[in-house]
Amino acid sequence: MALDLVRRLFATRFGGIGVVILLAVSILSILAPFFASSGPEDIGSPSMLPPSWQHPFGTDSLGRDVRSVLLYAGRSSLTIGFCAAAMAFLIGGTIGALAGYFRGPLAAVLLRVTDLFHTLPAIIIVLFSVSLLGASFWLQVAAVALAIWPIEARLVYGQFITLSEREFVLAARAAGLSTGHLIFREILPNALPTVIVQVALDASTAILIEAGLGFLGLSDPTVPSWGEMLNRGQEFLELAWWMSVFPGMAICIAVLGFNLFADGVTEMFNPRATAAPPKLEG
Amino acid sequence: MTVNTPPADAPLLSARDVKVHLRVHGRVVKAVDGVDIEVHPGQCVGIVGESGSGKSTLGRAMTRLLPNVEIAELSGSVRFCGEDVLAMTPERIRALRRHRGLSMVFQDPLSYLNPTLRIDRQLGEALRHLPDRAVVREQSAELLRQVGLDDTRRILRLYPHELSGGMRQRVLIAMALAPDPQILVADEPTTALDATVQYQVIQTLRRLNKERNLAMLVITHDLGMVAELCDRVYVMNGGKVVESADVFALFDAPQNAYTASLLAAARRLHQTKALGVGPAT
Amino acid sequence: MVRHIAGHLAQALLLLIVVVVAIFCLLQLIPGDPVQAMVGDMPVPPALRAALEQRFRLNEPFLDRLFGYLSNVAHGDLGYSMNYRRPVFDILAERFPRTLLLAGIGYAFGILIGIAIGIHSAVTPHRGVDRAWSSLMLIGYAMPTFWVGQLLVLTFSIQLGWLPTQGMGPMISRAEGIDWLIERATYLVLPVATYTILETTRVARFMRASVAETLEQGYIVTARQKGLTRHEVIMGHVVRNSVLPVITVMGYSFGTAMGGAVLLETVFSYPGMGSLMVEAVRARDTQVIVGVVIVVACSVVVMNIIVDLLYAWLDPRIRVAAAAR
Repeated sequence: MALDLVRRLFATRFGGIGVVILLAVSILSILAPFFASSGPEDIGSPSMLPPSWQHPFGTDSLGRDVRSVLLYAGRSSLTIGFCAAAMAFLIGGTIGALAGYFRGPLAAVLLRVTDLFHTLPAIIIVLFSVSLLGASFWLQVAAVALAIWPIEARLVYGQFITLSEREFVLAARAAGLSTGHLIFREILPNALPTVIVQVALDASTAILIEAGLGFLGLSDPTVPSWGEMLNRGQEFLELAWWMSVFPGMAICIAVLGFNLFADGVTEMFNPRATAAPPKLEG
Repeated sequence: MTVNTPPADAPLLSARDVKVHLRVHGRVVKAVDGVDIEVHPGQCVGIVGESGSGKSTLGRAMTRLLPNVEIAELSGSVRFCGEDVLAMTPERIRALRRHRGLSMVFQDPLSYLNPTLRIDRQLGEALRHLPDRAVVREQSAELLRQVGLDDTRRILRLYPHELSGGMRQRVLIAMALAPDPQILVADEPTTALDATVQYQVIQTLRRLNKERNLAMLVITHDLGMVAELCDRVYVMNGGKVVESADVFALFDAPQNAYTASLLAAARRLHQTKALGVGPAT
Repeated sequence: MVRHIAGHLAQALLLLIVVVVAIFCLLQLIPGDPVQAMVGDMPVPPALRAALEQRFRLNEPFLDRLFGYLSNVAHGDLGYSMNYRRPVFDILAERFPRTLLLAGIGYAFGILIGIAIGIHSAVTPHRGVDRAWSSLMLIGYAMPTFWVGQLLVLTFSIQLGWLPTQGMGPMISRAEGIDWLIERATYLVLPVATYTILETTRVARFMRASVAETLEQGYIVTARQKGLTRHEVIMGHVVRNSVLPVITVMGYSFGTAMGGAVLLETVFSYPGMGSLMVEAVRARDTQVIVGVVIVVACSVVVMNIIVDLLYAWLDPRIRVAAAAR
């Protein structure tokens, strides 16, 4: 069954590419010590060298091999991406589910709170949290999750609303099945594809937000990240373009991976969404 | 712009060995598989069949308005006044649609009208061959009257969602009449309407057929409508025509088993309705 | 219609009040000395402490403080920044218009170009063109905006030397009139271009989906049936109906544009509200941070109201229903 899903994913236009990218990026990061030529702390090389055979992405202002730092930085960026998205799903999903299932005044209040957070731009929320609570790694994750949970909440709420009207739920209710059973065995599995797509998109958003935070120099200084590399690169933009170009490309590739995967899943479960639009001639 | 009229005995619109094979979820579906149809000037022809018989697909293939589904094969000849419709250039088919050609009305009037535009604007779009705005306004009002809508000034200023279902369908028929077509193709024109309104629309179509000598091709699963309106009937099943006959002959003495079963089912439904048993009319 | 507007205004006002109250409550939760938090990273002399405590009623019960705060905000008193030694309101009044200029122009261009690309992508009979646009928009969306800014600076300022790298204007300028305008404009080109790219990629993707959905509608078939040319169908029926859903997210994406200001103004060293926020976070200047958040919330809410009105005006189903009430 899982194999069948994987096969269908690869049959879509870009879903397969997305998964491949994600796997590649994850493996490269997790196994960074194997792929990197030096550790992230190694400042042995001469600084500010342009790309060469020895240092394919050049060296940075501290004398570190950019390619190696890039691989290690991938760990934190990807972790934040996954974890923030997961956290956002848990928080937002719970709130959305509560609002969608119980409706009434509870839903009204929860939706207002969701709107509140939705109104403010993500980076503003993140900066506000960071200024109040600091920027250690897990606080960062929490701050990013805080910025993106409203989207999940809206989504899950919407799914509950539409699905709870559908026949199979009414039938299950009529058969007298319990609330828990209803939520976990009937509604959630049908909402799953949409949720997976949104979580993947959230992960890509989280990576972009985290990169922004790092770029501003406000991320955890003890942990290398792509955003932080761009922060360093900004200072030396005129002298060392490679310090900025390669980390940016890495972010771009990771975000593309998540987005293509999300597009693939959408196409799998909703082929009309990605079919060619009707022609207007003839 | 040439306006064709066919020689005396030739059909206005004909289909010969038309095949429409569609690709759905990777498999080929033979929606229409070798169909011959003829409509003569002033004649009202009906195509009946159940859902999935291919009648709508046939109608839309003949007017070149197929929905957005992948086409595996589209063959055969469809002739309008002797010209091959399927081989026409886009400019030619547009010219026909604008004046003295084929017009089509569809099943669901709400989604077939643009919700953000007023009726006068949408009607006016079909009347661009007229010289100036005053004439357009006059003609729009006249068209509405022809389909049985008298409060023309008010209706023209309304938006689609402000009209009832029956009114909307009649507006669509008016729009189809605007280019003074030689034939009107109607795809399930009354299916989405209430019973009383269905009757009114059927009467409107009948009047148009008789008074304007307007040929019609009516596609429907409603045998009652066919009995009221049509001169000739084709019965479709599984993409093929299983029987074609004069309407009285068909109802009195169906030749084909499938036709007989369709008629029997319709009679049973009619009887249970008349007895007050089963779904209310 | 008036009641419709009034309803939206009331809701917006309520949202704003809730935002301010929420911020106030959050601030109370910061552990440690509230006076220190207000002042930032500087030692607090006793006289100043006493003055601040009195001004902000720090020794009074919670509700009194809350109402005091709300009334201050309503009067435009957003506190005083120790970091800049100016009232917060004045700083914001200076910086906000600059950000609005940049983000506003980029946002407007981005929407227009995005709509055009989205339409073209969906209606073009050549599927290859559609795929090319979609890929381009996706890649643009995946690129962090500040990185796009850096790339533009690298290419156009550093490599080609056509445009200045940063700031709002030169240190010393003797230009007058039109020359001054042009000189200032060159400083704005790259930042505005970056905003435009940001907004275009978002809008184009959404617009394409909207147009694709519109093209499936029945009234498009009716339009074709009337013998309208492709161009007439697009202009008369597709554009207006496809733009409506895009308008509904314009308020939210304006918020994104304002958020982008934080990052882009850092890339371009542009002295707007975004770089103000960053400086304030670094210096732990809470008053300024709160001020910025309130201004951003206000602008997003105002934008949402404008968008609501625009939508109500364009969609007759709402306009007519509202008038009929």
